Amino acid sequence: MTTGALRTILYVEDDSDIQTVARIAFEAIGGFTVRICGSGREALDTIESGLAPDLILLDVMMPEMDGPTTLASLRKLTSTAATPVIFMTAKAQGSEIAHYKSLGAIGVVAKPFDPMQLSNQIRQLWEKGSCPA
Amino acid sequence: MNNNPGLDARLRELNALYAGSLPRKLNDIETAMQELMLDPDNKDRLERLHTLLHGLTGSAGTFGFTQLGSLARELETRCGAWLKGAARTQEDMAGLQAALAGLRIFAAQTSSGKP
Repeated sequence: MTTGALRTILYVEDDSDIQTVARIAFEAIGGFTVRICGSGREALDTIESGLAPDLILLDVMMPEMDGPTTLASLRKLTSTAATPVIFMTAKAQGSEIAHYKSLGAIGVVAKPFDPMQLSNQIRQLWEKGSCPA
Repeated sequence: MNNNPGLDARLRELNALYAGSLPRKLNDIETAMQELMLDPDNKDRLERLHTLLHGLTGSAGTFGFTQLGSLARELETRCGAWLKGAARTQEDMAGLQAALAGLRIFAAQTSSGKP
């Protein structure tokens, strides 16, 4: 469950084009502090080195360690055992969204996304995630 | 779109950079397709093509190339079904190759004008 204000985001995404536009969307438009990692392994290393994000965004399809595998590994770390996670994916049909939520995600953002709306989408999912059904 | 001209300009610049990278992305996809045609049962090669199409599906629309992204999604879906074991014929492969050629033509048209 999410608590407090959303300030710091860890975004795990292997596509450099998406990384660049997402950084602008989160920092310049959303006003968040964002740390971007290019792989699940890098994300785990970043967490282990002390980053404590309020929210983690995970691309689903990444080489070597995909989003769900990264999430499972993050859950084994004390500092991210309960950190809210949102998946970002080009495959966001109803059944797929249900699957990602069953893994523990508070929501899913479909790719492609509108850079102008991305931060609002994230904020809405965050707020929804902070209100138990 | 927003009240920040600097931000608009930066996003337009990113869209232009993305448009400039499309020929390289499409070359990579064509190369992957050609390699698959040489060895149609090679799952690694099919996986490679699927991954490249998936990348285009996820990014093109974000940079304003909505229709290109939709076409990429259609091709990605075909490859995804094959990866899951769906039967495919020589005609299916030829159809995919033709569709990929169409992808390049479509990208050239859209990147030279408005996305």
